[in-house]
Amino acid sequence: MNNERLLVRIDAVVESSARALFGANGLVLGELVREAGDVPRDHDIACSIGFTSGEISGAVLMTTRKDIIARSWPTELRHRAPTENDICDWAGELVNQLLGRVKNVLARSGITLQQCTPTVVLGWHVHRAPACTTVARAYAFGVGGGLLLVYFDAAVAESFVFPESEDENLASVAEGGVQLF
Amino acid sequence: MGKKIIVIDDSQTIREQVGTALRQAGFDIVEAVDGADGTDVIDRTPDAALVICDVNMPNKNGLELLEGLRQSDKHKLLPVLMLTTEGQPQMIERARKSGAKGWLVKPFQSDLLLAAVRKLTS
Repeated sequence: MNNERLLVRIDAVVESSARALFGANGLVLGELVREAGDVPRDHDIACSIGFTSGEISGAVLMTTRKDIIARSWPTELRHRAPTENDICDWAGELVNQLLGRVKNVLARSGITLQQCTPTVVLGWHVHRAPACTTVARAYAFGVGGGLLLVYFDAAVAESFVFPESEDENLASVAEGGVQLF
Repeated sequence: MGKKIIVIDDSQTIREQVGTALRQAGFDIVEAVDGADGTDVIDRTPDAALVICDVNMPNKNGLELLEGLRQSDKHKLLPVLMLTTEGQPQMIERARKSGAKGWLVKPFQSDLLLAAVRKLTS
């Protein structure tokens, strides 16, 4: 498996996708927190979505605080405060859209991921258990006096080779783009 | 009464977001929570002018719903706009061949959504 190029690509895609997604919803993510610290004790929501293809399968997971998710509540709906159910639904949609962006970038390299529907969990001191997948990447964004943690965990087949180049014919429609037929 | 739009998405937030944008422009909105519910709602809404439909949903996905509509004499002319995180050309082509009238990739901008809806319902 050509792991190194895949990891570099995944890191770049997940970081830029998370920034773009939250930025589009009015929440600017800070710099990545590089130093390994304790797992945040204030995270009370986690949302996850699975994906699979021939040679890669895994999940994207986000953990954070509900008030941080609430601050990215869509502009069009800010005439009312989101309920807890709204926050859960929106968290699921955010992780869905995050994976969507990652998928659309990887598609240019011929990697076609199929995705599941999202799952959202509420709790206290919500944190990911140690991963046991081939690829286990973690990204900690500073935001609003707290952290948004994003994980990309995947099992990758030994035979997998990350393509050298991208094929523009496989480029996806850009986010927000419209095609009428 | 405005033209009736059926919005099918498993995210309540997205349904509300789309509904808010379109109601402000004078459209009437009917919601469905997944593909199976969407099929039922379409059957119960003979005066719908347009369907806006997600792709990845539980029970029945948006492409399966679309293909089902095209096999139905009753609904085969009902225009469908797909609204999804998916942007892959193969999937868009499958939808186009199945009779979808448009494809919009989330996150969407309300003005672009509204322009597409106006065009497809005019």
